[in-house]
Amino acid sequence: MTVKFIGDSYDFPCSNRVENYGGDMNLYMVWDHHLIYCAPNAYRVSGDMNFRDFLEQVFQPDYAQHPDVDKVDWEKGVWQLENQGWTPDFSKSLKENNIAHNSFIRVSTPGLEGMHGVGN
Amino acid sequence: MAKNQRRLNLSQKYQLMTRGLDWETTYQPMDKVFPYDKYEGIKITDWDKWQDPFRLTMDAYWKYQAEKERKLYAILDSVVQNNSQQNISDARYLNAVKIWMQGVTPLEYAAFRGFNMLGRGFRGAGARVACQFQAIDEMRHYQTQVHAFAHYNKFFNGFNQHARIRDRAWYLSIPKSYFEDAMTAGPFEFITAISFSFEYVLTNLLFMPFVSGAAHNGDMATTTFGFSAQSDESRHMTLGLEIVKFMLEQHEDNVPIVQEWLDKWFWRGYRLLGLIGTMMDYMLPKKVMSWRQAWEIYWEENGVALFNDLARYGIRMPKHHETATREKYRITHEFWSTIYQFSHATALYTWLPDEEEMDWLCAEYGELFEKLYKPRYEYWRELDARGERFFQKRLPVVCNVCQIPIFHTYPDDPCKNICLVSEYKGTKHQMCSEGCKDIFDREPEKYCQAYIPPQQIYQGNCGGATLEDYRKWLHIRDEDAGEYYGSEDNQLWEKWQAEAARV
Amino acid sequence: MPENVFIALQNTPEAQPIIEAIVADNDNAVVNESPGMVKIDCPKRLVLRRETVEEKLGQEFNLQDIHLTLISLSGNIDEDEDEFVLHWDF
Repeated sequence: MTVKFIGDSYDFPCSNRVENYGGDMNLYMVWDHHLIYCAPNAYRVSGDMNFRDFLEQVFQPDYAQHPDVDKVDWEKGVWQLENQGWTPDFSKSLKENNIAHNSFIRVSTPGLEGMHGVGN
Repeated sequence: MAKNQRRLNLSQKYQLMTRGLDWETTYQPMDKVFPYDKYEGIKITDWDKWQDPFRLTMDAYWKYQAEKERKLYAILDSVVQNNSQQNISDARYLNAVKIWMQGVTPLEYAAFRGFNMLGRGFRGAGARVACQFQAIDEMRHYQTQVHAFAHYNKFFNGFNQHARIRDRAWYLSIPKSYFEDAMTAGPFEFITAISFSFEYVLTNLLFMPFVSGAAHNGDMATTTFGFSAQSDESRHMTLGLEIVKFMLEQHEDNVPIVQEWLDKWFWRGYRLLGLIGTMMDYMLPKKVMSWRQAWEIYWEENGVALFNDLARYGIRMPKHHETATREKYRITHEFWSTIYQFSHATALYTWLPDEEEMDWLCAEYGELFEKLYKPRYEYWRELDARGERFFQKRLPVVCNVCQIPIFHTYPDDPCKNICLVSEYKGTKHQMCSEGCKDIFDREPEKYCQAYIPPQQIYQGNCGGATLEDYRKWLHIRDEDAGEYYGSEDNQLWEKWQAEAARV
Repeated sequence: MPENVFIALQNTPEAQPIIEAIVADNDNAVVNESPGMVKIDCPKRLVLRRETVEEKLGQEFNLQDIHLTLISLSGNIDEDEDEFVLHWDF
């Protein structure tokens, strides 16, 4: 399907294209089963950032009020990129890990599945 | 005997006052005079088949509307004179009114604009007249709501910037985008979206239990404009059903087009109304009906009966209605959890349900609430008691279609966030559900342009990336936002209660 | 299979004769009251008759005056001077 329109063409750029990020990129990530934080988080980051730095210095502090945050070992995480199985290399950059503009990363941590046995 | 000869009957009067008002143009071809009513593919062979079942004519319209206005303003005067702001159940309640003022009232204005376009755009005079009435109605709703809320604005926070924050605030892009999506479609899709899907199928959930809730919570102003507006709404709903039946009867080629619109706008409307359900479940201190129960009555009973009736035209139930029904146990709790943790960036206050409310929620929502949401709220209460009131400081991913933060969970797993992706023109777009993804994938050229607040913030278009900068850009003051308990509204209310207790 | 039509009216003195007329003329009507509002459900078809309202009211009544108290409805509409009918046709 395609949009119906009047005139000769209907062609507009994506409002969230990478060109609008001044060399950075937009990135989404969720820690599954920690639903007190309601939604996956959004980040503006440089693709050259080291993946471990991103995790430990940017992502993890966002879960500061969750009791699991001090126990987490990201190395034991089960990872998905764009909802597909994926194994990140912690020593490499986001870009080198195939993380692109508007990527969606999902991590679950077996054994640390939120509070109350229901992923809160 | 003389009666029938002296006076025209309803049907004669309607015929005389809505037919033969226009003419076949000759200086310009009709297609140039009415350039917008064909490109969507809807085929109309005989516009005269269009009938307003109420057969309302201009003279009757003015008479009834004048009477409604007289009543309404008499009551609004009385609200002001009698300090009715002190008679509401609790000042928490007003946050539902703030959502209305900020989110719903601008929709009335948007509807006014949309129906003005339709009142010019359709080539059938009967349909044009009905749309012109509705445009005037919508302006009336906008004005009466602003007038009614103006009184609350004298005492409470969060009412003073509705026109400005409507265009800027992240949570108001949800209702705003619904109407702008409709207004940037053609006239037939607009009227299907607004008059049928929104007004006929779904606004009963807004105006009936919620306005009844306003009555139950002592809010005379909202009850009065709400039911006054709704009396127009029943005419609008009828227009919606008539236009859908009219399209379906005019040409069989219209059936698949209308079905696609019903699929799309059912889902968009359902997503939008989750916000209203949340007001009903969490923001009315005295409850009328839960979202679950309202869904069962107004959708599973009344909505399904409507679709049964349309089946004879070859129309089936809207896509993903099963998902909407499955979500009735969770959607409002997920929504409240979200507003609760982001209310530092809204012109609203939020709070945690008290013990009694928690019991009511358990009774209405059963096991899922007890296992998942209740312990969540209890944990947040613990944090609150430690002086660590829970606020989410990071921006969320937002659905590229409904523009709601993707707090949604998998239909078969309420413990796991869903986040679906479609790629278009080399850019990935995130959606909250199969319903919204279908809408995106059907017209990616349109939705790829969406103005998604967190993306705009990160692109540097919203005054800055810190909460303080963003809030300033929204024209939301510190005292408008955050936790209810301890807020200025709360303090004022406590003061009034103490005064009342002394006498 | 869901098959109710409904009409909802403001719970005001003006609406009382209308509500009473609907109850009198529709054996299967179910009246649901909630704050400020009365909703009347009826399977498949619900009729409001001018004459019945006039009996209850004790004076002439114009059926279009329901616009002043009507909140909402569901069903296909047929209206003339004497009757206002809501119906599903399946």
